[in-house]
Amino acid sequence: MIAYIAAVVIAAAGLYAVLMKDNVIKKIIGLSLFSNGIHLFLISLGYREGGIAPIMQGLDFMRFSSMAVDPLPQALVLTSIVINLSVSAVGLSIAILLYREFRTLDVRKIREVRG
Amino acid sequence: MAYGFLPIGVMLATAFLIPIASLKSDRHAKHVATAGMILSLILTATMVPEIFSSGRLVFQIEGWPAPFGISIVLDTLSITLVFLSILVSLLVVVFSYKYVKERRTKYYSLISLSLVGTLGMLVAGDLFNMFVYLEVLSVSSYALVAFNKDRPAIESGIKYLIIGSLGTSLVLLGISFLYGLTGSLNLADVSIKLLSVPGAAAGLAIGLIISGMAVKAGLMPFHAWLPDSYQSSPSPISAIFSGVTANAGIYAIMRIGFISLMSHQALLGLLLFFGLLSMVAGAFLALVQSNLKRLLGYSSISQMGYIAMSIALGTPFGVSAGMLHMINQAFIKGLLFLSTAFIVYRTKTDNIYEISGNFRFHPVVAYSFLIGSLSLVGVPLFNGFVSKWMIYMATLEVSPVLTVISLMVTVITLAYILKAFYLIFLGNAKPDPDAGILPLSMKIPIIILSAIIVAMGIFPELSIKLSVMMFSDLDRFAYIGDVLK
Amino acid sequence: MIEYPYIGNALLFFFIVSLIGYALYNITRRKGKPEPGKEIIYACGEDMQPEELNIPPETFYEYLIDLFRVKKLRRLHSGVLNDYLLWVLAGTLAAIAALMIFG
Repeated sequence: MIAYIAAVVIAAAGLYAVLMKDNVIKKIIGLSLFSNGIHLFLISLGYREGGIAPIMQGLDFMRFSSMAVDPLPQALVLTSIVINLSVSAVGLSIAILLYREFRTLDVRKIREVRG
Repeated sequence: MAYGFLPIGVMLATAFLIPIASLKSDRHAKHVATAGMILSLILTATMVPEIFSSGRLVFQIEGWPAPFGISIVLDTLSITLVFLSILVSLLVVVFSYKYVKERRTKYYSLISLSLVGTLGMLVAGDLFNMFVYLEVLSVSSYALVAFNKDRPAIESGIKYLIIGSLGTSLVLLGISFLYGLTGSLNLADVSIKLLSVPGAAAGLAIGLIISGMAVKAGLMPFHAWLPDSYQSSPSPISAIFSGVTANAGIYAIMRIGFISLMSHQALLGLLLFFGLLSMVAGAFLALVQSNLKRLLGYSSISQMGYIAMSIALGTPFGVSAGMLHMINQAFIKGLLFLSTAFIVYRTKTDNIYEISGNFRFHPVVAYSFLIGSLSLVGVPLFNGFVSKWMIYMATLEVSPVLTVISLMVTVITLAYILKAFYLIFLGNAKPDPDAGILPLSMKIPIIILSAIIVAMGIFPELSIKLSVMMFSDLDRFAYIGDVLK
Repeated sequence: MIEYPYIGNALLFFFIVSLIGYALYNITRRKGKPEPGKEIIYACGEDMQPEELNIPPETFYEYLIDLFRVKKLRRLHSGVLNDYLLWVLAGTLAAIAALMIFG
C-alpha cells in the first residue's frame, strides 16, 4: 500500500515539475520523475505478500508460481527505463543546443516560434 | 515464423546499416535507405493477397500462444497503412536526394527509425509493444524536428519533446492501469477481461491512452507542438510527419478504442468533440498564417479533425469515410509538403508574402501544388472529393448540423489553400536566375504523388471498397476470435 | 448506359460536360486585335496604378476572422510551453471525465 502512495507522490511531483517549472532542465527531470512514479506503480502491481523473487531455483512449478511475484511488470519497467533514458538523452542534448543558441533556459523567454 | 515482422525487421536492419555503410563517406546512405524501403515495400506487397483473401493474419512471436505471447496482427487496415507509410517514406527519401546535403547519415537513419516505429505501431497486437514502437517513433521524430539546428528548429524540438513525452507517459500510465485491471497486455485479451471490470475504471485507463495517442495524432487540445514542428523541420520530414506519423496516432486511437470497449458511445462523443474543435479551429488558424509550412500544419490539424469527426459517427459509412480520408490525406499532404519543399529549396524562404510569381518558372511544381490544393478542397476528379463526399453523406445520416459545419470548414480550406497558391505561384514574378531547374530526384516523387491522386479520383471504386473492408476490421468479436483462436 | 469495369456514369457525364464547357470557353474568347486604349484599367474615372488595385486576398475574410475571434485564438498560441502542457492536461482530464462518467 505504501508503494502505491509513494508512486502517486512521485508521479505528482514529476507532473508538477513538468507543468509549472520554467527551466527546461527541470522539466526534463520532471519527465523522468513522472515516468519513475509510473514505473513504481507498475512494479507494485505485481507484488505479492511474502513473495520470492521470480527466479526459478529448483522449486517445483506449482509452488514457485504461487510464491513468486509477477515478473511481467518488471520486464515492462526495465524496457520503459531504457526508453526514458533515451528520451532524456535526446532532451538534454537539445537543451545544450538551446543554451548555446538562446543563452537562456527559461521557457517563457524562448518564444520565437508562435502564432 | 513470424514473417509479418519482416518489413519491420528489414527497416530496422536498414536503420543500422546506414551508419555502417557511411563510415568512409556518406554518399551511400541514401542508396541503402532507398534499397531497404523498396525491399520492405515488396515484402509488404507479397503479404497483401493473402490478407485480402483470408481477412486477418495473426503471427505469434516465437510460437508462444496468444494471451501470453506477443501477437502481430495484420488485417486490411494495418496492411494498407503499412503500405501507405512505406510508400510515402520512400518518396520522401527519393526527394531528399538533392534536398539534404549534410549529415546525411543521421537523416536517413532517423527516417528509417521513424518508419520502424510507425510500422511497429501499426502491426502490434500487444499494448506494450505498441507503446515501445510509439516511443521509437517519438524519439526519432524529436531528433528529426531539431535536425537543422537553427533557432526555430531547436525551440520546436524541445517543445515537441516535452509535450510528446508527457503524452507517451500518459499512455504508459493507461497501459499500467489496464494491466492492473485485467492482468494481460494482449489487446484482444484485455477487451474480453474489461467486461468484468467496473466501467469507470476502464474509462479512466482508456481515456489516458486515448489522450496520449491524441498528442501524436494532432487533435485539438493536444496539438500545440504540431505547427511549430512542421514549420521548423526540414520540409520533406514534414511530409512524413503529416502523412505517416499522424496516421499512426489516429490508427492507435481507433484500434484501442473500438476493440477494447464494448459500448463506445462515450468515446465516440469525445472524439466528435475533439474532431469538431480541431476541424474548425485548425482551418481558421490556417487562414491567418504567413508561413507556408505552418499554414499546412494547421491544415493537417483540420484534416485530422475531419477524420476524427467522421470516425466518431460510428456508422459503417462514417468510419469507412474517415479511414479513406486518412489514406487520401497522406497523399495530399505529402504532395503539398514536397512541393513546398521545392519552393523553400529554390527561394530560401517560407514566408508566402515574400515569394510570388513562380508559376511561369516551375510549371511542374505549380501544377502539382494545384492538384494537391484542389484535392484538399474536394474538387471532383481528385481523391479528396471521394472521401469528403463520403464524409458529407455520412454526417447527413446522423445530423445535418455536422454537414453544414463540414461544408463551411471546406470553404475556409479553399480560402487558405487558394491564398497560398495565389501568393506563391501567381502574381508578379520576381526574376529567378536559374528558372526551370527541377532535379529529377525531386520531380519523380511529385509526379508519382500527383498521378496517384488523380488516379484515385478517376477510379474511386477500388478505394471505396478498400475502406469498407477496412471498417469491417474494427469489428470487436472478429478480432478477438482471430487473435485468441 | 455504357458498362465499363471501372468508369462509372458520373465520370462520363463529367467528361462530356467539361468538353461542352471548354467549347463554350473557346467560343467566347476575345478575337481581334486589342486597341491601345482598351488596356488601361478602368477605375471610374480616377487615375489608379496597377499596384494599388491588387487587394490582398485575405481582406475578403476579415469579417469571418472578426466573428470567430481568430486573432485572439492565434495570440493564445503564444509560444509559452507551460500553456501548451496545461492544454494537454486539461484535454486529458476532460477525456477521463467523459469516459468515466458516461461510459
